[in-house]
Amino acid sequence: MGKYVLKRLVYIVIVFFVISFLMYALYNLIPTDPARAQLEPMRQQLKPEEYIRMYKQLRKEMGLDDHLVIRYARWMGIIKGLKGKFDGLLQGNFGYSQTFKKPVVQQISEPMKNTIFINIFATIAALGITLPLGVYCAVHKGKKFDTTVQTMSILGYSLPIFIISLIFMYFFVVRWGIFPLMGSKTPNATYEPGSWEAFVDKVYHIALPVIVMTFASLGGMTRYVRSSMIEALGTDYIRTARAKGLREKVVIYSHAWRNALLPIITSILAWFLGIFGGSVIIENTFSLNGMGKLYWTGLNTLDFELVLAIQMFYTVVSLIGSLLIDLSYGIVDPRVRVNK
Amino acid sequence: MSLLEVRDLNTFFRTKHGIVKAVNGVSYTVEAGKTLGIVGESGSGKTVSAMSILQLLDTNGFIESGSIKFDGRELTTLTRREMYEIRGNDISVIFQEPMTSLNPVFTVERQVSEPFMVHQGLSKREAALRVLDMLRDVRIPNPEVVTKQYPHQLSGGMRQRVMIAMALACRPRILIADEPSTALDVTIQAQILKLMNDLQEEKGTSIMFITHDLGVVCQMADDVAVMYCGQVVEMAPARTIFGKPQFSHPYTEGLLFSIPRLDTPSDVRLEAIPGAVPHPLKLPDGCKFAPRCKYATERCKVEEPELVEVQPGQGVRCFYPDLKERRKDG
Amino acid sequence: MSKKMKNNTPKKKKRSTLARWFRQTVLRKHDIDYDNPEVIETPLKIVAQNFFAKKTAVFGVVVFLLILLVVLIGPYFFKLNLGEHEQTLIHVPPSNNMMKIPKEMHGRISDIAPGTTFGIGVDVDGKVYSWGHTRVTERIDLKDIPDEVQEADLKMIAAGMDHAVALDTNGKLMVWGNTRRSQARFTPDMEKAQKSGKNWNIVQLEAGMQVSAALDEGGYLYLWGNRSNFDLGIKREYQGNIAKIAFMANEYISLLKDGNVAYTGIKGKGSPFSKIPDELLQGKTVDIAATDRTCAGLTEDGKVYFWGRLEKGENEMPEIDSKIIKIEGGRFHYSALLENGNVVSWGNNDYNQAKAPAQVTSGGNVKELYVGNFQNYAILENGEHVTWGLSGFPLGTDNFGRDMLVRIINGGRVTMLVGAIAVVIATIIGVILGGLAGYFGGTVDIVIMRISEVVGGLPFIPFAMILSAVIGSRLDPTQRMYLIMIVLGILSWVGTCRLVRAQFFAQREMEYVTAAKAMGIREGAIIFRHILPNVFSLLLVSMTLDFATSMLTESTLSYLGFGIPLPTPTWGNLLTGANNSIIIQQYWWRWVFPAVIFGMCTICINLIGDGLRDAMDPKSTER
Repeated sequence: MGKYVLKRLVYIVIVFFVISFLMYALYNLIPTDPARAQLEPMRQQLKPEEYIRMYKQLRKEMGLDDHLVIRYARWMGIIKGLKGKFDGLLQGNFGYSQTFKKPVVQQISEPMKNTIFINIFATIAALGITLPLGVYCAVHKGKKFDTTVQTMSILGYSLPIFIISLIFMYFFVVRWGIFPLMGSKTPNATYEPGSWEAFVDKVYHIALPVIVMTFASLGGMTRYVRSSMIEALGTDYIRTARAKGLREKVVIYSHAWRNALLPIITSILAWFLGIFGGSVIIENTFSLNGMGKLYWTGLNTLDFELVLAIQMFYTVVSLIGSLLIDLSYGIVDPRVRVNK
Repeated sequence: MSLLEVRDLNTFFRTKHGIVKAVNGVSYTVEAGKTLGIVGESGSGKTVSAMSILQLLDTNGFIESGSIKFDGRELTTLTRREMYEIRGNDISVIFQEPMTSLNPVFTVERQVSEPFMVHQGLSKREAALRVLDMLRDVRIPNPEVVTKQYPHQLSGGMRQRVMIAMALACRPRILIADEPSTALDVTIQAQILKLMNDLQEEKGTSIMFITHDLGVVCQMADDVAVMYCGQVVEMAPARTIFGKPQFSHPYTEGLLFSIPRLDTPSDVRLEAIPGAVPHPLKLPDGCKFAPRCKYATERCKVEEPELVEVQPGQGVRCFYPDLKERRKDG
Repeated sequence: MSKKMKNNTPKKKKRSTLARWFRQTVLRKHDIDYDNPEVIETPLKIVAQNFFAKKTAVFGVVVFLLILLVVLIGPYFFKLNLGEHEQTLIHVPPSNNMMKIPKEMHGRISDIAPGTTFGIGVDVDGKVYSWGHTRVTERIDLKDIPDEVQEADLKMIAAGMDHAVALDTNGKLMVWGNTRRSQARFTPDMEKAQKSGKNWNIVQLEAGMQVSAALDEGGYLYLWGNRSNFDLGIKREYQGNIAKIAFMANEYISLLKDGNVAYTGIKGKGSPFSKIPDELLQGKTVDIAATDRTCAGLTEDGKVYFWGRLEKGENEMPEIDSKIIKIEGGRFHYSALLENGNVVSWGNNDYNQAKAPAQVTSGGNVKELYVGNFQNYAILENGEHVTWGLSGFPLGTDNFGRDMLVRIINGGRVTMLVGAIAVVIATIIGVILGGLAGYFGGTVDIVIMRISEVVGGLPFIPFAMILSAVIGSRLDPTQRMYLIMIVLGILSWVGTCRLVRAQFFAQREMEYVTAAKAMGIREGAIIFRHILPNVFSLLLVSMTLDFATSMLTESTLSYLGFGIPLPTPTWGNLLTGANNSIIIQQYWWRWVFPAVIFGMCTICINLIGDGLRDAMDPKSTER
């Protein structure tokens, strides 16, 4: 097990550097020039040759003319920065947002909290519904309830999340007025941050997005749980367990479930990533102050360092997710944990 | 009275294309301390008839009619709860595939101790000790190590021993062995068969031995039931079938001819039964074996023979049970 | 084998091997045991049987094919106009009643005022009627005609963009509808004239965008309404000389009593409308008309002269075999009544408004003609009416006044095209990489699987957004469409790759491969031959499902603004901006229709994919 974990860790670190480098390289394709942007206000007062000289000087100071690899290493904090210090991503410096005129770290802290909050909420809610539902359907395969759920679940995973959002908005906001349409807090509300009222207001605002996210993931997940469970229930060892005289409950919830869990865990990763991707859409649709919304804004304003930082956030989330999946896989499956 | 008595059992399966009559009026008995061998090709209904006893059929299968009496108790009418008490306790099963019949995510100890905990109400610790005993009984070396291992760490033979240990845990009166040795290497197969014989002697368990391998039946069984297309076509003591029988079903005859024997004269060619088992939904009228039978007459194609007792202890489902006579005619 | 036969073989073999290969690989028809009835059916046939036995799958196929047909053929009939922007038709709900004159009016029409999306009419008894989409703003509906108008004996009627003006037989002017932009604020001299009755014998009532005009018999013109854009002034010298006026979008022209045409407003300097053709200044003009941006004058000899901003074919008058006696202008088209009682229409034909039906072009019995915006109403001698032009939008219009039906059909084509090509790209990459990994195994396999893990582990939407934003910023819309196809393809090959690889490994384990190897046949050859049909069927399933996914992803990206950019429609960007309560509630047609058709489409594809998967899974057929 220890070797297995170590292997996965090393692998993930390598993947992190590969992806971050690819990202960095990709972003360098964006035709932006921070040096020019910085000089632009002074341009009128300068003579052309003076401007060019200063521009060149500034580019040099900002390290824009260095090789891509060197800039990447500097940005990452692997080699010393321009000020002779290690000052990069690894040291917690995510750069400076041109759009919001403040350090990226400050800009993303609140949205990050919101995003993680709604994603975890939605994940828990979705798992809480899909796991029992899928198992129940598998056990009662072919019955009316199961067929109904199967048909409904096709609806669920066929519709894109923004259409589901619109339908839910229509009913919950416009028709019934249960939830607010958008935003992450009541405008002009003055609460003490961290107070109970602030929390309630927040929950009130994110309730609908979370419901939509949960609903959107029900279809696919229920089907997956169901088919994994059916597969597990059809195996020989389930017959063995029954022949032993075990109660059906034990057979289903102990013998079959433990085995069905293996494929389910794998699919949870893909699904969790899907939820994070989906939260970009949700946050934009509901105007939630989250990473997805910020990402969207950043991409639209070509805010190089902000977008890069958020992309790294997504990458790290996906890598941590995959690590967690690997670990839990190891815990559940003795074939991975215990070598021959 | 026999320990297990199956009478006119009909087990059917609902499928999309219609009802499949997998077991069609099967009767046999298992005597206490004896071994009944059930022989037949795959699809002949031998496994289904055995699974009907424990009601371990797939969800679309059901017992249409018939009676299964175990120790004088009717099993077909038992509730689910009562059936739990029988399974693994009075009657237990060993399956064909040791590779897939053990749960891959649980240790040997956990899987073997379950019958003890369920049927004898032992605690985990007590059960664990009994597991060690059981593993020793099935001649597993280092039971202390094996008990903590997972199925994937064991070889096929070892897994089948674990299966046997699990099946015999509660000293069942009947052990249904569904092709327990088919998936194993020949040497391991012999070991497993010997083990079963030994255990039967030690514990006095009756065995229902399901196989397609006549050689194995010859070695293990006291009585033999030959099945074809969901019916018992011949029922006789093993001595009769494997000796020099006077009466025999043409199918049994064909089966016996298709295996090489040491005493077969070298100039006699092995004879295979022509054709294949008919599709369960397109069973022929009359005798089910008629299309493949070299002795078949017009009567066989129209009229279905009954299982007739041709001599005490031997029943044959054929209009022409006498070997010599039909060879002469044919 | 005889020599003769040997000579024959090569030619024959070529064909038969191909046929055999097809039979063996695709149909799997080899070694049929005729004694055994159950294996006669080929797997493909069984799959097809299983598939079509499933009702949901058949439903999916039928509906999907219908949608596909509409989306493929539709664009030829519903042509997309990317520059389309019609201010007067914004957010029109689904309708087809814009020219549907109420039954009570049939045969008794005395005046019709065609509005933008509605019509208002007066019958011979002076009773007022309205039809079409009359809701001009959130609160104001022209259908709510004030009681005084309903009770009055009306003589004339005019309709603007969001208001209507009526004149009763007593000379009373009434305005209803949107009056917030001074539409009902009469000028002081008007009120004076109305009160005194002098100069108040109205012969022409007109209404433009948010302005209205009344012309007195004596040539006095009264103008009122929203002055912010419109040239509502009149030069003193013309007052009392005006015989007829015609409204353009922001100006008006007048026909003077002396038979000349003049720009009588005060902002005429430098305006193209002041450049009146000389022929119309000879005192022989008998009628004038105007569209939004052009004017037309009719002379005694029946000739028509155009001026203004002639951009939409307003001057492309067809050959006429008779003399024009009256000319009327719509928004971008003209219709004229001929001496012989026929009608001719020309100009912009976006809404069929310049395509007069045969009944009026050759019937020779048209008595009266009412034209406005995109509608034409011709009254025949027998009192019946014929209409042509814009009757409504079956699925409503969007915030640029574009027909949702056209956009949905064309958007579907884009979405499906992008989805299909993305799937093809993904499948090609997946098959190649999966094949390489499966065929070579070892290091190649490890490297490819690691790459696929990385790609599969990327958060899809954010990553696609980046690629689209970074690369797409330098591309034109068409290139950007290709970019989206490629991005989707590059990011979604992982599943196919794993599937193909798994097939290779599974086949390699098969005993027949070992057997074939023992016989000296190259492993590669045999694997390829047997894998192909297996993979073919599996690929079919995965491609169907991936197609739905690709369409979803494309639409999601477009919805977020990182896919196909507007104005090219896709099923995703039709919904962009639909997330506000006004659109959700009031302009429901803007999201309900695209959502429904798109949802149907993906649901059907998934039903098909599910059906295929079940049909191919031997386990599920047993059940």
